[in-house]
Amino acid sequence: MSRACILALLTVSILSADVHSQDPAALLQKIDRNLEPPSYEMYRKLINVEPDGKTKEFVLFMVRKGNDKVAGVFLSPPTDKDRAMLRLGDNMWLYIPNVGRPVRITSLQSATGGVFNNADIMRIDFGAEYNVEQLRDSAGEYVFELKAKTRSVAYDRLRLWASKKALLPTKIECLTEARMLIKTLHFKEIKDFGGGVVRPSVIETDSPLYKGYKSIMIYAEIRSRELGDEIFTINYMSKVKELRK
Amino acid sequence: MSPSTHGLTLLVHVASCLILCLLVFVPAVRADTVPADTARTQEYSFDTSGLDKGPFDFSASVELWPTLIFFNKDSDLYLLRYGRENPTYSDVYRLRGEAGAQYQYKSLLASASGSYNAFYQRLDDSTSSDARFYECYLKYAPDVSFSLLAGKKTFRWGKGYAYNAVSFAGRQRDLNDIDAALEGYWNLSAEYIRGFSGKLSAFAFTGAVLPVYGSVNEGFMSDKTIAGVTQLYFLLLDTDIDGYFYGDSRNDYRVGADFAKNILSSWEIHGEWAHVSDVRSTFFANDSTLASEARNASNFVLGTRYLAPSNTTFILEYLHQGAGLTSEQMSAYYQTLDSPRASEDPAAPREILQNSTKYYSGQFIMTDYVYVRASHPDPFMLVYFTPAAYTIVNLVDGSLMAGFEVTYSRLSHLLLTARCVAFAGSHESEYGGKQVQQRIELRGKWSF
Repeated sequence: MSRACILALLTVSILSADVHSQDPAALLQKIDRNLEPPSYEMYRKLINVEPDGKTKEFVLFMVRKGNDKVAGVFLSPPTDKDRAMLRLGDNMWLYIPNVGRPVRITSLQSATGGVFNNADIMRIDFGAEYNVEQLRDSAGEYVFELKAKTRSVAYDRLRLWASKKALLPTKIECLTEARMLIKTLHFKEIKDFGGGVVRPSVIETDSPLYKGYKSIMIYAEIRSRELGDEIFTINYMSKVKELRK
Repeated sequence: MSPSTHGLTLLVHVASCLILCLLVFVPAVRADTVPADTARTQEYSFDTSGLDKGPFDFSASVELWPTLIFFNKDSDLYLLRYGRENPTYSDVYRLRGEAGAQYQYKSLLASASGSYNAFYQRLDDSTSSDARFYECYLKYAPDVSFSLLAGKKTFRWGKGYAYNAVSFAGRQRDLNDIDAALEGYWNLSAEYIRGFSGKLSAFAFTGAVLPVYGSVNEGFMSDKTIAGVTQLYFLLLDTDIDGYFYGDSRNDYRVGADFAKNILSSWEIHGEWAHVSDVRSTFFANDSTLASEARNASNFVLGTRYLAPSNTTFILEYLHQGAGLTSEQMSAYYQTLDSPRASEDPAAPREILQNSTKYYSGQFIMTDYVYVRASHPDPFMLVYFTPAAYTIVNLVDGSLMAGFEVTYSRLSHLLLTARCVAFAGSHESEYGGKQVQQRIELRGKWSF
């Protein structure tokens, strides 16, 4: 056996040992925490890009608490202003000011059109929705094979690539139960938001179901903030915009 | 007017509607796709400097809304209203301006919103306009869990899409304009919210006092009445559950409850039930005089919403109104509509038309209905287009109203809607008896 082969085998065994020495669920939890603090506020811009380059933009103010409570309100465009969304675990509501009451919506629908659906916009911790089925190593990255804990999530399976150094996602493939690709999320432009939050500031999404279209999500001003549980109730949806400082 | 002249006139009116829409909306579309909105976003810029929240917030919209109406010439109501004038169609133009403003100072929030509506009908060259506040209140919220409010506020209670049996302190929505803002009532109210981690995830209490005195809350109840309403909300085991109570100084009461739950992420079920004391209904008796009766009644809604794998959303609801008019009462109404044409009293038709508008023009005047709606966003990769079809069927007389609409939401400031609504059934049925047979609407709402 050549020296090169021995070296390659040794490298594979060391890397494999590294993967096997990790608790996959704990690793996923670290990735969740690196992406978002336990309780925070932020601004987010969504850009739907059409095949001819034309765009439609949405700006949201969002708050999140724990691993399964998210609320957001649209600040623009004017046609969507003051619409609010709330997610509590598997439950999701949309509040339209004129309608004046929250209506249950599903994670698979899209409040903005384009490639992002409601689950992408109101994402909660990966660990809250998925179990790690397999963890492997690929070119210096962890590759998680995630399977949904229940049937109420948007995607039955996720394949998540995360950098080993930063423990942050670089790419996620969203798959059906039969492993058909629904969309791919590319995590880009790692930025220091202050307060110890260092994470990708851009998520770009494309989908074979929307050929030529892509959607981009840009994060800004992520700040830790103490938030009461009352904020994450349907009675508070019309008031989420009042939380802005 | 000869048929050919008539057809030409109709064509001119349809063309003028379209030209008007194009003149108004095309420049708006062009203005909306200015380079700032169409720039390619390779650098992913997000400038948040303009997002700082000020104490004052304002939003407004202007909506232009031309409508072409085709009359139902077999309808007794039509014959009574138009007799030998015999118009086939009419074009109507609506303009609606809406505005809302809020001012926040520490724990105090002042909020006002309202609309101005102008209306022109070419057939009788009539114009009308009105302005009203939807809401106008002052709210004190010392923390996120408690608030006190004084002023005019809209209460939107219930889980049903087409009808809300538990809407004890609100108005019923228009099925053909389901997202339209509704006018509230003047009240004093308090709200308390608690959030939890566990099987009970949320609890909320809302209590309000609504006085009816002169023009204050006119039409909500009889004059010089004070009503109290309460809503209790629970999010328990991932299910929205509400309890509702109403009582007033005339000893009338109402109780109700509703629920909504996602069985699967793509399948939701909901229901509402209300028991109402002394519901008063007014109707034409067999001798064509107005009669009135009061009785206790139960109303309910059972419904479901399903998102199919094809991305089509279906809504199905069964509605029951215990105090709705019976077939016999409706027969007496149709006889009454028929009678004044034989009468020699020239005032009789006008009086019957007035009473018909007052007591028979609601959306659900009988007892049992089924509502079905299907909508499908982005068909054939036409992103931002959402076609939808809906129908409400009166299960008692078999008549129905059906609509088809397309909305286009590509533009940041403009929402475009085209809608066609048709009424079908025998001329002695609720929807078949309406004086309108079809209606075509084009709507453009410019928000800023």
